[in-house]
Amino acid sequence: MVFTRNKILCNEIKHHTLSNVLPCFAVFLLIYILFGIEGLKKDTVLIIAERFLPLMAIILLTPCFEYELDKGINQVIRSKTIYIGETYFIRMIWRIVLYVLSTLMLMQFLKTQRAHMEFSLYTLESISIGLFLGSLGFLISGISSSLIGGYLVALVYYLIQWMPNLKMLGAFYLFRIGKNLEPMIELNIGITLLFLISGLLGKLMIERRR
Amino acid sequence: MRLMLLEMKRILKNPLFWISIALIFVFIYSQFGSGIDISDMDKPLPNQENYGITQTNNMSIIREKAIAQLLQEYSFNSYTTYPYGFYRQVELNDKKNLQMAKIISAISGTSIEEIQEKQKKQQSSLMNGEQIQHIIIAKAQDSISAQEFLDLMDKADELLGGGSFYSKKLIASQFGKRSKTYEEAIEDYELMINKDRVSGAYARLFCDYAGIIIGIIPIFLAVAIWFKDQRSKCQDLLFTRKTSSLKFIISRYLAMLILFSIFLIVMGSYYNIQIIKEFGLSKINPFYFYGYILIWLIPILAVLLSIGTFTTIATNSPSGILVMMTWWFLDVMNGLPGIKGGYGNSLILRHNIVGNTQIYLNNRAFIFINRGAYILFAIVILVISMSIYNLKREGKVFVRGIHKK
Repeated sequence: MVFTRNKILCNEIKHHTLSNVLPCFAVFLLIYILFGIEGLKKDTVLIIAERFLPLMAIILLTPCFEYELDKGINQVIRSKTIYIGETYFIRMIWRIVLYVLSTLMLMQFLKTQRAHMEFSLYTLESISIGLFLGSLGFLISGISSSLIGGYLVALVYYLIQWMPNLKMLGAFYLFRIGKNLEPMIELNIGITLLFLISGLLGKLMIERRR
Repeated sequence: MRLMLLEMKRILKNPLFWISIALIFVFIYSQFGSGIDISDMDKPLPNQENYGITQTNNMSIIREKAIAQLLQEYSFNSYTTYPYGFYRQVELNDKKNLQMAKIISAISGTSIEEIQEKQKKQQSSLMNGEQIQHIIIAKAQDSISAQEFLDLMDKADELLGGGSFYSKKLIASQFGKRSKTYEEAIEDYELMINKDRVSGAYARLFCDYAGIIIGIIPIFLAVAIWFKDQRSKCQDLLFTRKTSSLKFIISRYLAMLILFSIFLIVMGSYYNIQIIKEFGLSKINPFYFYGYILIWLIPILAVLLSIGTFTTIATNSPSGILVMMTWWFLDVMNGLPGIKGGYGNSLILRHNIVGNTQIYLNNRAFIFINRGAYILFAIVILVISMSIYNLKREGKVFVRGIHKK
């Protein structure tokens, strides 16, 4: 069992990590171009933490089911002794770990470059927003079996956050610290767990029905 | 033609198309409203409190305000810039600080030592900031010509890494703002009635809002349509068909373009009919809406769909979404300073006001060149897509990417 999980994880790291991590570097590059990295003020760090870093979670989590979306692959999956749910679960956890590590690394890097920030609060807020958005994409792509649909919903929800009328979103407005609102880290994490579980179970049920 | 109709049917059955349409509709409706606001066409009356803001090209006013701001920021060594629309605070190191002092010296005719001395006095509160600025600005008015002033301010902007209001592009719009007079408001009003025929003014606002949303949403469908070939494993089958790559790609591309355009025309017609009802056919030009949609919005769609086609064919991945999202983001943020008539090199042109007709008329030729260039760009991207598709069909590239076998 442990051997199988290790094999799944090694497969994930070897074949599926680089292609998803590279677009995350594009996010880093965008941050560098727009804001630079040295001596960033609090407002700028908040923009980076709340509005840019969470994009990495959408890039990493939404395509969790991508490799099994090809037509005809279901029969191959069913013929395997390894339960596909295990593969999805390990892949999901690995990508969450990747996202959290990337966020921590960049925030720490900004801190060493004399950025003004409350490290733990901003990092937690950033991670919670990213997981919320990423899990939303994960849920939609899982239940609709559409990778693009997952991206669409997650990115549209992200873009709605940029609109000026934030009152209509209430507790679901994500960029809170930047607007001097109370961060909803626990709510975001709670909804993330709900979305991830629903997405995973939904995907498995749909595959079973096929 | 038959193939294009077939693709249209496929697209119409795709839920992503209808979700995209719904999102575009909701956005435009939420911004433009359920109906046109006819108060925008009210004739200005004498002795009104406010006639809006206009931009002056009076260099004395621009110089005074720009130098005052620059001196203020220099004294604290803290400059506000907006590269790509995002707030960024810049602090200059000693070397750049000296270069900035030289620029201020050249603009104001005051020596660097005098400026630095006055700054020290301000920082130690021996002298009021306004007093320092007043002294320096008074000297600045006649020291150099307008062109030299603009060149030096542009250098200051470069020193700050770009995005400041001192650049030639933004200095007038930022520091040249002043309230309109009654006569100017009447002149604007007359232009809207006579030149715009009312419709043009509203059409520009409609295109402003529509441009924002169609600059991003259709990319999802464009990527999905091409991506589906790979997912459904019919790509190899399509490769063997006798239909040429040109015909295939153009049919699919035009199918998407026409369907989205039809929706924009329908939505534009809804507002056009309201304008006809409110103002009457004699006062308006009912075709202006469609002309604006064709010139202003179709190039945005053309570029976006071509990028979606190219990136998906070339990389067999949905990377087109990331590419277009980045482009859209930077374009929209960059367009914020010129939101009421900004006609840079952007794909998404901004004109977020009913009016400012003179600004539009002054830049009309540039707008046509801009749109023409983007149409050409879309065509070039499509041609490249066809070449790559051909290479894949011939087996000269792997279907998983653009690596040679």
